[in-house]
Amino acid sequence: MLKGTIRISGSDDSRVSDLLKENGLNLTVSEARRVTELLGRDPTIVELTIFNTMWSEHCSYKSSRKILGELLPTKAPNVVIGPGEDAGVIRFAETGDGDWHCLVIAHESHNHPSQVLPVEGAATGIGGIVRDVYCMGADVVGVLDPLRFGDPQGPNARQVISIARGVVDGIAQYGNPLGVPNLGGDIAFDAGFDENCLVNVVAIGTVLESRVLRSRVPEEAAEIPYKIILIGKPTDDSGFGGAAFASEDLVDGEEANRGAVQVPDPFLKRVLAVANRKVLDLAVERGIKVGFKDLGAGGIACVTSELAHAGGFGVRIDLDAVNVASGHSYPPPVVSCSETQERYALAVPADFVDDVLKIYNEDFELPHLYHGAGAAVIADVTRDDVYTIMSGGEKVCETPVGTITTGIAYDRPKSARKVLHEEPEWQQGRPLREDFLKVLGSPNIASKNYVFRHYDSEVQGRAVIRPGEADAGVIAPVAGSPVGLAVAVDGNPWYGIIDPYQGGALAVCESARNVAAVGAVPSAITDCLNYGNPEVREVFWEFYEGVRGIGEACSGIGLLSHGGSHPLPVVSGNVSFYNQGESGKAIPPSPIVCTVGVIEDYSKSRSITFKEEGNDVFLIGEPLDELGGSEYYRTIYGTLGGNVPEADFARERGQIRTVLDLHSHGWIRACHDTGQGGMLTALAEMALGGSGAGRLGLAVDLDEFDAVGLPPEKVLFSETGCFIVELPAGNERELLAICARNRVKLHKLGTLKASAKIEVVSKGKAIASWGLDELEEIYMTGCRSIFGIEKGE
Amino acid sequence: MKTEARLWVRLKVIDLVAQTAWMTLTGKMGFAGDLCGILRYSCWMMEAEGDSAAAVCEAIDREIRMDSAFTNQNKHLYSLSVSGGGKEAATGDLTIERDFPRLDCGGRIFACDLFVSEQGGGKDKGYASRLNERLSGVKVTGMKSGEVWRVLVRAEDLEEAARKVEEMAVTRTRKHGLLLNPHYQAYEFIGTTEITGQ
Amino acid sequence: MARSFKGKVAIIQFPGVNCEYETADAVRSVGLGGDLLRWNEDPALLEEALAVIVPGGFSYQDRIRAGAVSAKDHIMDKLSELASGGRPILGICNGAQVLVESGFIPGIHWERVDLALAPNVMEDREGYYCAWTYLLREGTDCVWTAAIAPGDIVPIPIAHAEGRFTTDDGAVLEEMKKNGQIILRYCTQAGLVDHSFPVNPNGSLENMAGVCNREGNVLAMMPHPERATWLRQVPEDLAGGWGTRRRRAGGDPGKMEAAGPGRIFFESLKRWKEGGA
Repeated sequence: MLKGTIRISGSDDSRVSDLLKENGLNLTVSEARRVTELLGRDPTIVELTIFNTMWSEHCSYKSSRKILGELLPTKAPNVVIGPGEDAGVIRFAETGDGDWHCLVIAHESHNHPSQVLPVEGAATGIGGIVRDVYCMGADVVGVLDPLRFGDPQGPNARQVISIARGVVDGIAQYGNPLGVPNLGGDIAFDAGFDENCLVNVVAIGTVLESRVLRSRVPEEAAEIPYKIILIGKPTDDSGFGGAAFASEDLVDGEEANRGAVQVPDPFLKRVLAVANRKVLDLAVERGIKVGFKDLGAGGIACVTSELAHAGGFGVRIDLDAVNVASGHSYPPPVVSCSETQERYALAVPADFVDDVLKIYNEDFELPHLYHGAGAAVIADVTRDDVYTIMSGGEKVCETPVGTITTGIAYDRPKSARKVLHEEPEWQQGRPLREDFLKVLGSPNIASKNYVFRHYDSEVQGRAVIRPGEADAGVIAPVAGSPVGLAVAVDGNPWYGIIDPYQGGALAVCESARNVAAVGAVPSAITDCLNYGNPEVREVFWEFYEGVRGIGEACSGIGLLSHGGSHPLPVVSGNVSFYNQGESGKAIPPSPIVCTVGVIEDYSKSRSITFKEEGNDVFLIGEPLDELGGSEYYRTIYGTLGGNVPEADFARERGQIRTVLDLHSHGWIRACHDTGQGGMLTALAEMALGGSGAGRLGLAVDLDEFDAVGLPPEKVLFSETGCFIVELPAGNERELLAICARNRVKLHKLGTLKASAKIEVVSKGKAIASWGLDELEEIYMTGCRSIFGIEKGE
Repeated sequence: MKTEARLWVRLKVIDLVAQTAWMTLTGKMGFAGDLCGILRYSCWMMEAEGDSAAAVCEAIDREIRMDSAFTNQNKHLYSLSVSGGGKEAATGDLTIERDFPRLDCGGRIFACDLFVSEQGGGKDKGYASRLNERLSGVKVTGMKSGEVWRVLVRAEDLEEAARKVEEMAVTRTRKHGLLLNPHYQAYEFIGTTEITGQ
Repeated sequence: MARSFKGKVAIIQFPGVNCEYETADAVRSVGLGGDLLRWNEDPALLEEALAVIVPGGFSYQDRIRAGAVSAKDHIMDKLSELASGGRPILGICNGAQVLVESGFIPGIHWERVDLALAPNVMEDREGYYCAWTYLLREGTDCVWTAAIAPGDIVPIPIAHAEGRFTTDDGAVLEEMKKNGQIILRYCTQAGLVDHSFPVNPNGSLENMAGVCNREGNVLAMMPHPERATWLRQVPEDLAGGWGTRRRRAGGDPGKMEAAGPGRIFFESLKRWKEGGA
């Protein structure tokens, strides 16, 4: 019998349940019995702890795996690595000597830890996501942060604001020292997130295809001895139970929350990034094959078993060789599974070990920069298929490596929610002037400059378009080459409340539109699917519908760079369940999508700011009676409404193609998609620009929309997805032809004037007008009470 | 009645800043023989009006526990003490009088508490108004916020201890001082005790 | 192959800096050689270096105070020797903080700490702030600004939390002004030295953005010239001449690769090199 065996077989259910609780495990009784069945004997405490972590929702995707596999398209000609590894990899530009420049992208959530400890939770969220990209052998070139917070004006305002500020601080405190620019993000505020904020993060990186690293022991280990080196922070008990913790509903103040504090250290991560680069470059120079993986949920156990299993090998780990926090000693389950941050594992040939250790321990002095940090050999790769953990000279775990990495998957039942969302009773003759000021200044619409100016968007020196300047961030990733990468995140929670399918579909449409708005071809997506308790049928139905929406949108829009006959591929993603607070109410269904795009010539990307007096402004697309979930309904009517925008993939594709055509001709001077807040908000944003200093205005003639048959407010605030473009005068004929070819609607909105105001005109009369000075003040300071401080404080 | 309140807050997880201070002072600045330990606290020293020391203590305690600008129970330990009208009240999970790192030093050891704040006290008003917004029956009338470095040194007597700590703290030249820059920070000793044998 | 910095710019890689690679690129953009030197490598390697740059980032994560811990590193002994001997030394952002904490700037009393780079004081926000600023070139001659005419306005981005130049010592400030050591000041696009936020992005005394020593070989500047070395790095919406140039380059990737406003700092070093000592 192995050391630390737990007697499962022969114990009744209630005894098993007690045993699990005593040992701090969240496995269900039936899951524990399944472990026993798999092993063919009773498990040790180390083995049970490993399964506890690996079978947590966060690690195993047990509730979602089947659905994701069925509904999401993952294959396309530009995909090098799809979902399943730490990050997705797509090709984006040829090097000219037979290799490809590739984009690496990963997308994750860190919701529960951020609700409890906003600064550390958000910081370790960034820490975790960049590791996923680094360990593919890539350099991280940007991060994005889509965030969801509660109501900053509601009964929990104080806590909501404290969490929002803490999260933004945490992201800044990690990303800025690490030296990774923030390329975008978005924030939505809704009471539904009061007790459970969402902190999703995306990291992108670049690497040559020939240098992509896999997270597996290389096949060379069949011929020569390989070792596994653990690098980074000394292992402690921080975050122990973190993955299992993420799958529990949050309960205020319980002891359960305290053990999950993860301490972020971007400084150490930066030093590691530089040191890793040195080690990996040296390996390439010498033609040595390595496997590389970062440690996240499940710690040492998870990373070693996956490295070995993926390569087809076994592994024998010695816990005594693990650097632990000085002055501490931890029991084997803790050392095996704790989630101490800032650690990597490297599988290298035995005769490369000394060179590797020297770089970490001497050249970069890890032990001097942090007590107990460093690199050490902790395991031997074996040519059988056994996974063994030794501690104090005794075996505490021994199973076939395939068994310990066995997944688990459930078929969750689902049933449709029966909530009817109705359109409000229409109020004729509302004061348009005042209503727009309210919409523009509302926290969901107002400028987030307090947030993005808190992040470094200039580090690395590749930024072409920064947060706030346009719909997507753009970088020039290859020195001397005109190729550009664009990236944007979206996911409107209110659409999801009304119709979870539309929530998913429109998240793809919006983020793809954002990338097209800067002239980039949407080339891949990642997603983060945030929902409540999947064991509740209605919640699981929301999840299913959201994924179905994403899948159909990807197929519907298609990979336009390759003719559109392939779907836009999903290359990576994350599922976060159990997002609900003490009250038990699930968060609004929140699928959040990140789209990356490629542009052949980044110099064609334009900011949204209006550029020149006399240029024409057009709407590509047309507003429909789709104000369900809109900012206008929520802010002015205080209701959600019912007519949520309905995704029309053919229309989306046509509109995107039109905008890309206009970009390739070089005619676009400014481009912005309409969405939250509708056309009027988008026009104000273009007139003001990201800094609020723009002073070109225009007079919008509503008569242009007579045929649409909607009242003025609906024309101006409908959230049907369209594009607004500024073109030099005189291109109307060609524009009409392009629109006709792509079968999209076109409306002229007006001509730019140096008037410093926006007017809405109908039947020759101005029905409302706003000075840009006034709009600047409202737009730029709308979020001050949340993210800023009062003047003179 | 006028009372004086003092809030000390320290991390219960590892304090990387204090650890770095330790490593720099002992490893690069030659204080390995003198320095026996170092801790860092956030500190708020307040004057408050209220019915009694106990009433002020209870009211402020309630607020600082809920406001993460002061404490977050998941990562902090704290001590709040109030004195007024000849009485004292205290609460919190930290006993400041006995909060010392484990020592391996021989000889006489002194703990010097050095309070460091920004000149001009830019943030003080903000902290006071945060509390006053929510307090009822109690009003914060004075506020000084900053950090306390609790520096444990080996010395012959209190004076020598304070002198050594000042040397470690006040950055006068490239090689002298580390913990504060006197061009924008102010400092004062708020307590020095001998802790030999503890 | 032995390492040599002969004739090259050495960029010091303290643990935690993060701008070192693009700083090296900026140095190379004017045809100078540039290479990284780790903080714990042999300082003697610096003896042959053309110049030394302490780049931006978060050395030691700004623990205790930005730049404070790096100032205690052994390599600073060699840097002190070179700086007081007339070698060109540039500190950018975190590098500026290291030079101030080492007493190289203002350097009136060598190695005496006479200044601080304190936490930003801004109008309605606090902490880290990232934005483009305009800098006015004034004061005495300095190796790193030799190619910038007095009165010129240069747009350069900043990104920092502790960028407020301040001093407790009025006599030092007077001496600095007398010597013309304040050579870069935050200004409006039109060159007006406006003390209010966001023209002065951090509350810096006298709108100081860059301070050199009396001899003009050491410069500590908070803005990042390496982030403005190419035209493509200039924001499309920037007001003024550089913004116009950037907008006109739209659609022409070749023009985008032309020099940006920040290159002039590196051009200045090159000019110094070519003009002899």
